[in-house]
Amino acid sequence: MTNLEKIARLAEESKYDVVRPEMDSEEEFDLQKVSILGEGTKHDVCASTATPRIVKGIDRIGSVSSAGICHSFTPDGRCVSLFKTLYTNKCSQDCGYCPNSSSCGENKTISYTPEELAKVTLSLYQSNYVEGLFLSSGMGKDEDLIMESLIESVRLLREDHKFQGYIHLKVLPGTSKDYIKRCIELVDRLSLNIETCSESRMQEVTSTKDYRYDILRRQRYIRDLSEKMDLPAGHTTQTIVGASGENDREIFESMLREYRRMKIKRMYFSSFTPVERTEFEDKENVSTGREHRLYQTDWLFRVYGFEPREIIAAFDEHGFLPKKDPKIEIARHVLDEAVDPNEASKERLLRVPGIGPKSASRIVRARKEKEIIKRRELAKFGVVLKRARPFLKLNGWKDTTLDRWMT
Amino acid sequence: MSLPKRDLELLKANRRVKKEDIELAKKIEKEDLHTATDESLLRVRGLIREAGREMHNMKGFVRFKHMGKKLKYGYMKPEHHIGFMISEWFANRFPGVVIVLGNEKESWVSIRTEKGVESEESEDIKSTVEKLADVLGLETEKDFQGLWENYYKSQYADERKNIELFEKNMPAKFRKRARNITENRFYEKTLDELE
Repeated sequence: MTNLEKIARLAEESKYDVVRPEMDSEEEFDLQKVSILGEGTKHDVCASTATPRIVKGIDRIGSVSSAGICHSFTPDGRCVSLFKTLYTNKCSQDCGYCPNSSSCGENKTISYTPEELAKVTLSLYQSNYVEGLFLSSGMGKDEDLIMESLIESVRLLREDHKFQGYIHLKVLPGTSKDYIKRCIELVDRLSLNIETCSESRMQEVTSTKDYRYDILRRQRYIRDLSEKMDLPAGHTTQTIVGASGENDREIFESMLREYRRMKIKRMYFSSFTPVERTEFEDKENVSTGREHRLYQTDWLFRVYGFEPREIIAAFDEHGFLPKKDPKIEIARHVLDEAVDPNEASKERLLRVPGIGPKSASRIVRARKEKEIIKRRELAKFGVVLKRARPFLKLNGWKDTTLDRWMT
Repeated sequence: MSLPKRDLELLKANRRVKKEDIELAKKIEKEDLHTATDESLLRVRGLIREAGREMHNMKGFVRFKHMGKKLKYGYMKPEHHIGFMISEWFANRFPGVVIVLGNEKESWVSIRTEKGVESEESEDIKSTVEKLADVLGLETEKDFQGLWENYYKSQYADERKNIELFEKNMPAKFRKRARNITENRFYEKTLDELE
């Protein structure tokens, strides 16, 4: 028997019918449905698939990765890692930015059944196009009925098909605590989009959602339940940037509330894009640069450990961030003198543009053994010298003040 | 604490590794690599990262076709010697299924059973798949590229078009090594629209 024959025999003997049921042919899928309901989620930006969940046993389909995996990118540069789809495009809400809004008139209703959804997910997953499912939905006529269908879809995958890939489920505004509990039992990540940064801003985009009752109260349910149960990849939220005329400072402050009070894992930002036939179709498009700068402040707060009072220094008098890295603006305010990498604390090093957590740790560890003498050494630690130089002094030398302020 | 086993495997898998790189890696600790300024340590760190990056990308970019319930195969032509590392990783993801990854010259075959993972190196992917299909009595091939193409296009936001970012995240060399037909086709169409 050749080694290949031996491997084939092992497959024959294996009692695990991993592909259950037999996979459909591609012709059996409604491709138009896949396309329309897929497009309904393209402004939901969370593409993370990292989860610490441990997959055990071998009677299953799939696994997860603690670092997450990107399976593709579109020419907009964004990662496609999950089968991201709406369950239905039918919605009773009147959000001014959304093409599925009830204010857009009658759309043709398109919906999956839980079985259909499971089959598409499994076909894409087993062909290695995606790392799992990201399931969102319009609210239909009755959000409880839709939420039941979403739960049934993920239950079918997890329990009947023994699918162990990644699942991110959107909680619909107004979902009951019992349903949220069931969701947590089945998925890696939950999210509920706040969409706007405050109650008054919410009223500018919709008359049908109650910010406190439908959104914040549900987020508290998720927070409280996930403290007692295991929600491996945590819960997240997303806000639309620029849909209701808010400034960056308002968004930043709502981000702080979300991290501190709601204990979210991540905040996502999606810059507003006007869509034809919606109430907001004539509003101006918001640049992705604005979204990017908000992500930078999120990073400074969450990863670098900056205090909000430091970050606030980056906002202009109108509450907007400058069109450059906010860390530079903050450095001008908080670094009253040039930083010596041989003496500064890790926290102070982190305040220097061009030095991140990794390079700061490397500097702190390396200088215990040997004094850092040359800038070239800093570059080897990962420091971006072009940005850091104006804020550093080495061997008593520093760049001129003019250089520092002209960065 | 010495260098993690995974890092050593990646270093050995790098096509450009030299004997002295491996000798050096055996003597150092993980932290030494993090704070390295010495050229030889930087080289070791770079080699590990390079093979690790290819490994990570191939886990995402490889695409499978299916024959029955028991056989999956996909094109892969890695630069580094990571064939088994990838095929075994997929075997663990899909227990009981024969995973074949490979190209015109070579292929890597793995399966995960109750007893663990079995692997075998074989000739070109076409012959390997034909032989396995013959033994397993499989004929019909299934492929979900059309489904993927439909879904993939639905995720593109033209107002955010950013070709440079796409090229950085999904470089041509990886698209070629995993034969990402849909992405290549859509990328070229987008480039044509720009001209």
